[in-house]
Amino acid sequence: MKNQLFKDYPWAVLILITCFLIICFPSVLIAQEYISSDTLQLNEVEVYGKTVSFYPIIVIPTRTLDHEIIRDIGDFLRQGPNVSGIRKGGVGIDPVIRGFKYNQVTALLNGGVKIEGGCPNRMDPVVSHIESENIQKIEIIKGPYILKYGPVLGALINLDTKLPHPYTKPEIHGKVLYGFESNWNGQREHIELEGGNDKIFFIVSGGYKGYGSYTAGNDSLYNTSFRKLYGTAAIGVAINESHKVILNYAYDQGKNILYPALPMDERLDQTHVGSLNYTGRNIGKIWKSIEIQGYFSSVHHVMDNLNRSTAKTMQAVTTVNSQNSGGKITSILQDGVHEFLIGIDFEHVFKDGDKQMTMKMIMDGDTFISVKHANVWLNALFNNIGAFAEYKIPFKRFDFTAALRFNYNQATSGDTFRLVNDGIVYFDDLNSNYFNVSFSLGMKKQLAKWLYINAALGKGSRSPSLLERYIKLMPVQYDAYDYLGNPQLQPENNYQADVSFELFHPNLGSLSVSGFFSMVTNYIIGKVVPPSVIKPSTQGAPGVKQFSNINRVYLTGFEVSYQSPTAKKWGLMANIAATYGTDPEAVKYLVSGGQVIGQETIKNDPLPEIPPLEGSVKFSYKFFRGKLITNASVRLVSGQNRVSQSYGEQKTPGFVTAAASISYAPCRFVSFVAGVENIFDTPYYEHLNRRIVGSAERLYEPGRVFCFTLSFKI
Amino acid sequence: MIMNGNLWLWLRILFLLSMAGYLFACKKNDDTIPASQYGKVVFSISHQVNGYPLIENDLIYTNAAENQYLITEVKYFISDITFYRNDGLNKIIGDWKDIFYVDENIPETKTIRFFDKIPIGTYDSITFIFGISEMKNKSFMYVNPPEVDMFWPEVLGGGYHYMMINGKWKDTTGLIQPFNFHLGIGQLYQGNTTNVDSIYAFVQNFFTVHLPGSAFIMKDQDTLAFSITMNIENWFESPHIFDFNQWGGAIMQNQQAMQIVKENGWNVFSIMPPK
Repeated sequence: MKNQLFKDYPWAVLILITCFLIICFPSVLIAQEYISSDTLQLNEVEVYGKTVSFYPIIVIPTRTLDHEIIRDIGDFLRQGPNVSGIRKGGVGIDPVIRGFKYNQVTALLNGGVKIEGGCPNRMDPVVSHIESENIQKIEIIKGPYILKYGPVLGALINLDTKLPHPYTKPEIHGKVLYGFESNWNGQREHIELEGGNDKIFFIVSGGYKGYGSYTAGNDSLYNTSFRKLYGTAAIGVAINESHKVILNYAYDQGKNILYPALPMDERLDQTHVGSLNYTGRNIGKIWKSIEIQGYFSSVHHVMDNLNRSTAKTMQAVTTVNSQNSGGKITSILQDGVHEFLIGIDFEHVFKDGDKQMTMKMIMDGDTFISVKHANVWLNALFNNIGAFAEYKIPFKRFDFTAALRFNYNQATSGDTFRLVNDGIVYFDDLNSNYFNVSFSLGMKKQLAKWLYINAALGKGSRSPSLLERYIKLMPVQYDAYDYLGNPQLQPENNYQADVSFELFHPNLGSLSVSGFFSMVTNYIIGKVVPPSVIKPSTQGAPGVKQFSNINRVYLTGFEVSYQSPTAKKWGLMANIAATYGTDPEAVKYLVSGGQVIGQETIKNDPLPEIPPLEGSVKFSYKFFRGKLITNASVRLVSGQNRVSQSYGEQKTPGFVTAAASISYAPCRFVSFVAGVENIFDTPYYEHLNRRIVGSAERLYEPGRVFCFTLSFKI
Repeated sequence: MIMNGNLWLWLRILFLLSMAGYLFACKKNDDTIPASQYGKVVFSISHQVNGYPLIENDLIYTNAAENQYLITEVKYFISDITFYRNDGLNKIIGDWKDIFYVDENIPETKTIRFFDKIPIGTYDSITFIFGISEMKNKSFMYVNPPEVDMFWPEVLGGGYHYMMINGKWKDTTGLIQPFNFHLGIGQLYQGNTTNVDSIYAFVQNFFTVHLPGSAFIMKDQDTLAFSITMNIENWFESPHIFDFNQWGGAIMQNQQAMQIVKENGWNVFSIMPPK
């Protein structure tokens, strides 16, 4: 097995061995002086800055967000190396990081608040429930290494929202923003008010987004219009300098959001998120801080096919209510150079949904209406209790971090549905309990004056989601199949190694070269269930697949990033990244004359939905001491010919796009950003873009878009 | 701070062991499934009238009741196809699909390539259910065309039509009238009305078709192609003569008429030996 592994993934094995050697025998490396974290923190203000973490992380701070025109967070995140997204409509792009997707990527707000999307088809991934105007900072952490935020398998996205903060003297500030985009006549309006004093402080904001359908570079018009309305309110109380309490509430509503690549459109999506955070600092001699967080979020989601041609045959309306509530307590203890982070967390998820199907028949002048109600979830519950600890110590020659996490997961459902056929149990025992252990080890070492090496090894485990356990007959994945949950799915485990070299030079800039190798056991994927056992209930679905565990899959890839020194007037940023995924033994069904006549095993079949090799280059130049910044960027994406045969995945041609923008802030009260995306009106689609429902055509990306944002703040 | 030397050594050993655990956790799967001996079966279905291939949309046919008629559509379900082996180990088709839709206007539906592997042996006969059994005929189980178009209204019993033969006939006055020669779940009405509110019971009209002369021998790796023919004229003549002038063009809410159709179905299908 080892020989085969080395044969198939030679450089991945190299990464594994390198990590192993570095972590176990750091003394073999050249000893160099440790550089304090303060120096490196400067890089956090870069567009994609690096921190001192041993794991790969992308930090997108406020300053970068202020210079961007963001209609959808998922869309914006696709700019990062090895960060892609699944497009099904104009918004709601679902992030894919290093080939990890859906529940393999954990997304949360403010380090702990979770939202359970309502839509089984993931019209509303977590990042779509919050608007970019309310975001303070975005962190993308690749790998299963950070364990304090809950179970993480492949990657984590943390969205820090704008929260109120105390002022030394009473102050009040306001901000208004208006943005416009041509092509789909998109408008963004946002208003924000914040202020307070050293005891009580607040922030309130609200806004609206309205976009029409966009035209792609091939002159096709896609029905992608959407309307979004949102508001937030937060108030904070500083008990004293060290103790702070913040109560936060956010509302987000999507209405008439069209998804040409899904069988239904979103009619209404209402999200409520509330949280209460307490932070205490410098509590004792070694007890440095404590954070207590409690939250509740709910999503009411309604979708239908009433605007589709399929409604002529059968009308379908699905309504889902989901809730997520929980909390966590985290403390940091520090004794000399030893730093311990310990904590516990709890998450409770509830999901319930109904699908109503209506068929109308007219016979001999009589109209017969038949209606069927089916639940997609029935009082499905998921509880997760976790305890975690993280230990950091700076040795003389390197930094070392170790983390450990235990999770107890329990799920059940109120389903009365059972599926047992010919002695094969497909859907029966609804209860499952799992105890998962995750851990990570990491180190960062300075090899030379400007050169660092990071290495990480870890195991991340996640229990199956409510969708994977209990969904009943909804098309929720890449293919058009209806999916059936599997209450007895086993947790997925990701054993991953990362190694990266980072060069930080004040005159040359920063260069990062990293690689990773991941083996995911009990990988959750859909397996076809014969139509003699169960038939699909969604129009257009060719059959039913059930979530199942397969023995293991492999993911491997690399990222190379360069960024010029920010002190210079000119700037250059370049990235190149790719991920490769392989299923050692996939099952392909043989089809003849539209009928399944057999099956065969395919060795080393590429995993589906893996983005191709991609690179980008961004040039910038600052005028007037940085008040005026011009940017031009080119993105080069290779074709994806490495596609899954077992999934019948289609190849995707490569493409090149270009964009330019200018941002001008003549004073601190006004700023203006204008730009043009897809300058040459290139007709293209990303490999992860879904197909238009009822056809083999892929959903193209928007053609040329002129856009601007004007904001005033006092 | 320098970590205690022994502790550091133990950490390294622990890590080495955990890594070794990873590498050797990848157990080989040496399970092999013994190859069984089996063959495959293909059904090629055709529709004929009076021994000739069906010609649609042409008023050239006359049934036993002397009705001149034409046919525009022939579509139906067959299910639970069973191969009776002489040792009693029968094979019911259903490893992948168990209900098959056949449509004269959709050529690919007229060739059924079974996913099922048929064990070798001597088989005495083949049967199938014309339509869909009560247990399997559930409303909304089909959502895609063409099967979804066979929907049978819930108030009339639900599920799907077993058969739709649509066409036209010349009535006694010489007028060309449309007919929907449909078979599905029947209804029993109180009184002489066909108001759906007066339905007091439903009748399952599916039936089993026995194919005479369908014995065969399956050898290892053989693919046997059977030609199955629906002789449409038989729906109208034996044992009951079906007269459109008597029953009219729509029989979905007329159990008496559907009973006649059901009883006439016994010899509608014939089979040719495998090639």
